[in-house]
Amino acid sequence: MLKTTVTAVVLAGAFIAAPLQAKEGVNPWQDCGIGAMIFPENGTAAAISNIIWDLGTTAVSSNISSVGSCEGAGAKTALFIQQTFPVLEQEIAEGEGEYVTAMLNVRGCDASSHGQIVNAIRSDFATKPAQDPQALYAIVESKVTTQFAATCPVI
Amino acid sequence: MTTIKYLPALALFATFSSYSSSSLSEHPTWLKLGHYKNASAPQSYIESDSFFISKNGKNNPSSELKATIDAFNKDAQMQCKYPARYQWLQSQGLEFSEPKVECTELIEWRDKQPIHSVSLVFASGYMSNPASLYGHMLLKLNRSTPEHNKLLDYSLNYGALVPDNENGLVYITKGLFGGYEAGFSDQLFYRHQHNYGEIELRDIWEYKLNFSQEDVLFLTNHLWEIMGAKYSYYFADENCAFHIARVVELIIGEQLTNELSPWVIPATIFSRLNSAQYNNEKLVKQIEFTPSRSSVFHQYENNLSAKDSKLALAIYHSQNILFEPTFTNLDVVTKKRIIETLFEFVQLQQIKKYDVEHIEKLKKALIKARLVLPPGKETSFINYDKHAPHSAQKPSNISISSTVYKNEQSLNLGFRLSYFDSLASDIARVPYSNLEMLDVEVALFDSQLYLEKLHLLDLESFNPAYSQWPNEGGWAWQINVGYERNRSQCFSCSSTFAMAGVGKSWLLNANQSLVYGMINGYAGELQSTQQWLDTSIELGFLTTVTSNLKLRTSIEKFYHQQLSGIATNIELSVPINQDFDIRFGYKHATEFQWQLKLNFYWD
Repeated sequence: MLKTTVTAVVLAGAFIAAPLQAKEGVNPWQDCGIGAMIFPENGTAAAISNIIWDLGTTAVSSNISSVGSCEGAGAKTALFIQQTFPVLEQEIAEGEGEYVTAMLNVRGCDASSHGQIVNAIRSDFATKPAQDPQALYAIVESKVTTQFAATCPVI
Repeated sequence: MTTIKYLPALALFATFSSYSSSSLSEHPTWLKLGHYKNASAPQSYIESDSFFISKNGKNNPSSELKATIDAFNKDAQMQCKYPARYQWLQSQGLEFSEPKVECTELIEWRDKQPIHSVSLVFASGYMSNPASLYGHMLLKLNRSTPEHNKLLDYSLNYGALVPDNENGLVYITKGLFGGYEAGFSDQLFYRHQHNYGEIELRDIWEYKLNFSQEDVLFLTNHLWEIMGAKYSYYFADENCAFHIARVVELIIGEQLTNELSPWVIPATIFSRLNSAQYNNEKLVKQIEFTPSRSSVFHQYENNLSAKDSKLALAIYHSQNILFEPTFTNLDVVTKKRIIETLFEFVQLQQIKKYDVEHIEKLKKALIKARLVLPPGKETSFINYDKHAPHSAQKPSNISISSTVYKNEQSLNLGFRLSYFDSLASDIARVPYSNLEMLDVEVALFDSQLYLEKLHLLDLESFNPAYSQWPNEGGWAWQINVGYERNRSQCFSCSSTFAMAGVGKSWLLNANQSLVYGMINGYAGELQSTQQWLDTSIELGFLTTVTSNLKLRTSIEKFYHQQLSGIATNIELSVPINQDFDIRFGYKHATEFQWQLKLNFYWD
């Protein structure tokens, strides 16, 4: 469990400190290990082994981490979607929310375009809702790299 | 701080101006920068040799200061490794031979989206997970703007490094008595808000601190320095609350921690934080509340009319209604409210993994129905009926009481380490629960001192359903380990025991009262029964009479304790203020016992 937490945090560290650069052709799920990450879905399940969890047993040693080809905004967006998918599904259906805003922030989309992007994603959802985080990521990427490329620069 | 014993050595390395007669190495800020315990015991909490420039730096602040100044004079890049030390020494009037350099990585982290303020965050405890009983504390570096929300703020977490698949007993032993390394890590805040609020269903409070931009810069620079440094972890005292508070004390001085205290509880730090002053103003500038998914659902559910709530429940059981005239003919606002409430409920069910297949189908149906409605939420709340953790009853307790047993009277003295009982105020606590550790009471009877009670651990969670929706609430349970004199059985009766119970509870009277029933099992030296094992059935009632005045009554029938009949307990709590309350107690089995107790709560 700690190993997966560490992996998650190391990847999250890439949000913070890694230089932003475009990485074309990267599949975050296959190339960045996101698909292999297991995220806690129920704190109760880990109750025994995590008895001291809450007074801090989840820290890792360093903040300065980058994960090879997973330094671009796309990979960071993928990680965000993987970690918050159930909330994102709901917020996209409702057309607004702080998680969907944060997702578009991570992707580097100008705030003025968020409403339009969410509407465009909603349109896709109406015909074919995303079944999993990877599918949602594909929808988001298809929108921000075509219809909204001007307001979501490749970073 | 006027000693000059280190001055000749310092003068070799730097040019002093304003502080030529003081010893910087004993300055409180220098000691905090090195995480030294204090001037009289200058040993650092940081274990990593790599954090110190001097070989003796871990135990010698003076040596570390000299080495730091020397480093800044010889290697400009050291400014980038120790930006806070550099900033502070410059502010003390020191000048260095190496020019100031631009630290690219630091600037990228700190200034790309500038950090403008600092907050301390409290994630409330909850009883369903023993790991989360006391709540958690972390530091948040705010970078949010109108365009970038707070989910992308930085957050600094402190914790132990525990090997994967650690044995539970080793884990607890090392956690309590040492053996784990610990350190700070940074993550974007969404990881914590999502984990606590959406998965563990815990409310979050954020205390924004009244720091100047210079303070924020200094603190941030120091966090950069200590990232990667290793500490030793101790659950009771050198935990997240202690070390995060120590970081804040770099700016405000020692107002939050007490090195002599054998335990540090996050709620205590927040209580002190709220009282702390900085630059003649309150340290806390603003307190923000972020409700958990569970709190949001209950608020949404309360906001629905009875008719809409009934329809929402019907949709829960049969999602096809979403596409039938019963629902589609409703106005847009009502449809949105019902779907929003169902969304919140569905998220809760997903977290609890209830009826997975049904919930998945329902969520897809809700998404489909919601997508045909205009974007934008209909339900939103700002004011939740929740109190911030600093306003809670303080966790530790000493008591004095008078007990009457038959015609005998005793003077009792008590001490409880932490945290709250079922008759405490619900402010910043899980209502209808009990979390007490190390609860001791002694009695003076006829010039003889008796141990009346020693509870190592006393946990109760009644876990009632706060709504009529499916799968709300859960099992009521209790665990108690310790020693107790049972004078209501007989004068010399006592038990050394471990017990556990499980049952159900139900709310009444607009959630102001609760009834419960439990089946309990006891093991140990149960003197009054002459047995090592016993079982009982317990029925009880808790109610808030007025304001915070609470009453608890229970009856318990034991299997082996046939002679003593039914044990009856009644206790009434009358709060005086945040620090005091009075308790009236009555116990009866074969004999009666009365008690009048004054509790003083402190931290």
